[in-house]
Amino acid sequence: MPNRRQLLQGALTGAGLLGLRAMATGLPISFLLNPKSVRADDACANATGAQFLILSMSAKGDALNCNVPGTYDLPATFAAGSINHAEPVDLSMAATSLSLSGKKWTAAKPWSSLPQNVLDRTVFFHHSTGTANHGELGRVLQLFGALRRGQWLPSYFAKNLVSCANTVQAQPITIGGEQLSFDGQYLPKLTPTGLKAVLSGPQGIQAKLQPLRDDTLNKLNTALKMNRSQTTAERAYLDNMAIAQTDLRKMIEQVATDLTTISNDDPSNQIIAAALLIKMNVTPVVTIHLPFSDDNHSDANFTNEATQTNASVNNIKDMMKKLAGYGLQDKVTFATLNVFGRQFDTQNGRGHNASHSVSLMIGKAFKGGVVGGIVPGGHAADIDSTTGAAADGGDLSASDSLASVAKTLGLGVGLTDAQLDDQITSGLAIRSVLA
Amino acid sequence: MPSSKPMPGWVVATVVSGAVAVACTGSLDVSTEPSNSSRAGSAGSASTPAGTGGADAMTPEIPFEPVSARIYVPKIKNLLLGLPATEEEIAAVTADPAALKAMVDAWFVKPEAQAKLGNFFSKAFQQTQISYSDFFDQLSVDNGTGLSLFTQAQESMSRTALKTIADAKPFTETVTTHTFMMTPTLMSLYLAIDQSQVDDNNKLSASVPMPDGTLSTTQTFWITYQASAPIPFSETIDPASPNFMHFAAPMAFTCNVPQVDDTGHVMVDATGNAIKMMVSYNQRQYSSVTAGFLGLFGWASSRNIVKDPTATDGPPVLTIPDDVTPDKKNLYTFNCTGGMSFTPPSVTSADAVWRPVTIRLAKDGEKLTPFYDLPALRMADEIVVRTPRVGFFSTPAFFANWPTNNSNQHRDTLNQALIVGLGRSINPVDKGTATILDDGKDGAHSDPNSPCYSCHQTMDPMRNIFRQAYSYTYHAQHDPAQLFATAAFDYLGETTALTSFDDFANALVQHPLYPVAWTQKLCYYANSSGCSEEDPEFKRVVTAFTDSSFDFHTLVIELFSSPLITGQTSTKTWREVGETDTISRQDHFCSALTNRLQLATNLCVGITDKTTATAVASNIPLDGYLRGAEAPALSTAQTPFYRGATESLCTYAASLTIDKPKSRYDSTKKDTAITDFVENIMGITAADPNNAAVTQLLNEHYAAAVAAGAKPSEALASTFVVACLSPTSVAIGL
Repeated sequence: MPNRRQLLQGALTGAGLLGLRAMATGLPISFLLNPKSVRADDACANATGAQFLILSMSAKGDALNCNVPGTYDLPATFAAGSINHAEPVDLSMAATSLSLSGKKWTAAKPWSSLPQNVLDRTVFFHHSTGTANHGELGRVLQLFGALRRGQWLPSYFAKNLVSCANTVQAQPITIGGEQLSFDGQYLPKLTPTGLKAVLSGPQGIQAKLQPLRDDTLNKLNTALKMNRSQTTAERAYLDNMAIAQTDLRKMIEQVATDLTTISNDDPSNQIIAAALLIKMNVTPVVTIHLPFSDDNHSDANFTNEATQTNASVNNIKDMMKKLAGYGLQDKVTFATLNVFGRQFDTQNGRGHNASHSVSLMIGKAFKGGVVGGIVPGGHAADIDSTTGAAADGGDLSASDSLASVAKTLGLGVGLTDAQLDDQITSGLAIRSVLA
Repeated sequence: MPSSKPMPGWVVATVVSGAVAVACTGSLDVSTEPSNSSRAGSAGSASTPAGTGGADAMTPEIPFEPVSARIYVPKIKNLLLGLPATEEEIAAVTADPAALKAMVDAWFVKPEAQAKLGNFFSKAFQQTQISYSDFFDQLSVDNGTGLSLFTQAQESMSRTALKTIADAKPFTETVTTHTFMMTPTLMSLYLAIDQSQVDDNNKLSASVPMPDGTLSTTQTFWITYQASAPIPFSETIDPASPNFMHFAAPMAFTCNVPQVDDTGHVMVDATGNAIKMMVSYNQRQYSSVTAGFLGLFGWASSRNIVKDPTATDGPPVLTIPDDVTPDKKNLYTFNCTGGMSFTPPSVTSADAVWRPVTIRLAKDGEKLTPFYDLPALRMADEIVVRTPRVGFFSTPAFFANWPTNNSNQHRDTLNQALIVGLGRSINPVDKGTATILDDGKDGAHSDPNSPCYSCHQTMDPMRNIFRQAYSYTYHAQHDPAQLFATAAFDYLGETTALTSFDDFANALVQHPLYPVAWTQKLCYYANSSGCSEEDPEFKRVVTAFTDSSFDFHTLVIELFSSPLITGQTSTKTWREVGETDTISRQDHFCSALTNRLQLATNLCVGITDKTTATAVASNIPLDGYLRGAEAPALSTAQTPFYRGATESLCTYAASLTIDKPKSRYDSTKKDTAITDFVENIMGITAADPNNAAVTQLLNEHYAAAVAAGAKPSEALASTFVVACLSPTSVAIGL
């Protein structure tokens, strides 16, 4: 597979005329910089089904897996005391009934507080990441090699969605503190307050001087490209600089007053920033971090787990309200994917669970439900890929479930089977939870 | 030589996914990349992050395009010094590329280069990316953000490396040394951690050397305000004085205390709330060594305070009368000042002076160096402790980066030490041959049938060297159950028994990967991507480093004058990885502006404009490192956010340097300023073919700004911002 530089190399014959070519063709400069032969990730394969994605991900791990539908009302084959939920005395995590698309389940109380219309498009996908190591979030996002070419899942989705959403950039934006790679390069970790700082337009005379500077810088770029740069990489970099400047100005135009509501970098402000970035059409994928316990080596009586789960479910509700306020409720999918879950068999949070985790998926394309489940020992169950139910010896083994999360989420955000099967080499999409 | 063989990504994935069925507890960050000597930046590195996949093996070679001296000389000088290349330098290298080597040699010793190298070392040795709160495990008490000792702790190792180089000693000493650059403040930190013991069960105890050489396990400490004058330090350290171990504070403490009537009952207001009044008191008593230590250096902790109702100068005590009903007892609660920072009267500028200090383990019966004896520390070149400290991997800052616990059991510490020392993370593929597995204490991992076995087979014998030396909070290990643990180095083909940290340090520096690792770190620093370790030119540089007895100066000269960095001629690395042009990340951009503007302090430190500070901190990436990652985390791409943040920083720089008293630029001398913008800020020399055109563009911008209503000062500032944002300023390699 050619790398980015090779692609640019092929693309940049006559690169100095890119601006003119863009004007003549009406195509964005970014496209002219990267005119690969039409591939799955260049053309929008599913314009009507394409979604933006807000992905909560964390290398800290979390206990989301222990308090969701599918881990309650277990049969007697589970030994007493082997499945421990957070149960603080204030009953804020009490086992509570809820309905997912008409079917009754039990989960920790916060989940029942999601509006029914949200629950009816919420999927709890039980799976296994296969690692108990904090440092392997990147490997999880690469599906441990099941995603071809070492791509990271958020970046893979973004590349395939950019032409559908026609966003400013293809790269995801990460504002939750985790590292993300796109085309072999780490992306910067941004913050809500950092976004606010750079997207606030100048006032007074500076508002007049800024466009003058942009114009001069464009001329400098052109001059240096023609008379100084000598290699393809240098010319491409100069073009990217010009694009970054243009993109920045577009974003500032769209921000309006919404940015003023950002006050810090906590999860609630990450949600505001994520919704704004999508409203501004900056990127198809934004990653944030909603904690559901964080690093759970020591959490007496699951206190942090209870507090954070309640807070994060409330943040999900706020996110849905915010997206609805922007008219984006049917255009944005929210999902979670963490490096590992919590082990079930202790009372104080100890134990990273490589073999069971839960991904949450909420979006228009989903039908509320539960995929998979757990088996005694607290491991992810095999799955019947037709029904999505946990099934001992099911055709989808637990070891392939991480890739199945990716494929199911991929279909949910508008990728096609052909796109997914071409790049994700294992796992099966679970269609029973697709609307 | 390394034992592993190149392995396609899918094989690794299979190995790893094999671990799915069984949950391995713990949190080691292991690499699952193929650990092989042919790795390069394009295959499994951080700037081209791990796992770009086995398909890369089929990547066609990139046609080589030579980079001219006019591009690479400024790049290298900027990387090393943050300064623009002169026309003479460019011309000399254009005429004779071999001339670059002498230039690098000369640049290397300049103060600007030493400052940049120091920053590189602090990250390469993983001593930074932490805050004061990350020292909690080692100090056991809350602590204050403003204390200089935390900054000093992060600088110590990089200063030690620079001193090693300056003394022309082998760079391997940064691994094996017992002598570190320290200040008396830092010496006191090491001693306080040594004298405050915390075991694996988090049990805190003290072992404080008294002036007569005996050890006290009961000594308490005070932070005391004396209204007449601060307590003289001579009394603080005099056991005959009533003020012994009373550290002076310049102000009293306060509490907001409920008022009581003659019967001792709290008085309430009309709403039933307690009527309170602020009262002050003069001293806090602490049971913890580290609380006393922090008191010495200006932080009064809110933890480990001894409650002594008989102390007349202590915090107020409110006794609840017997007849108060339970529902009214909350009226008797009150708040006092929590953690409090202050200017410590006993600390002087001498306590921030750096010098080499040897940390030596006490012999049997030997007196330990007291943490509190600042006059003695100011004169000392040795401290005597019980906690071993050897090389980069045992500093408080390294430990603050990589906390461990009863699950991880120092595996994380070991793995990061291997990453720094050898450039490799523990890898299931590179399993060792030892069978020593924690003496059965960690049964699940000791089972050869466990999928965790291969990692732990490699890890556990090595991490035992940490386990037997340190508790989970990185205090000296005194648990006999841990002290017997057998340790062995068994990694990538190199095997040796370990009986001490010195053995571990020697195993690292004698490993064939040691010179490779440091050459590769500099490749990343220079190119933002790795070099191919199979590249003959890379091997030549590694050999030159090794043959020079690991002289780092030689390594820099050889590498930075190499086509690996210049791109002047084709190499395997360039054919595989290509030319990486990158944004100038904070480490480089801030240094470049600081040095080119001849600012007294780093432009990016202490930015007074809050919006600019946030924009820079969030959007101009730093060079960094990640847990478990073999290669540094280096962002290279232009983004709108980087563009916006650099504009903020350039605008801020303009505000400091134009039309200010003694500032570099004067708007009444516009032409002089613009000439400097072009030649100094942008690095386009007077003889550069682009100089005239660029100068004209800046002049046109100035004129347009004035025409738009800007005052001369504003127009010149805007012109500066253009120069500051120009491609040659904000990118490396253009």
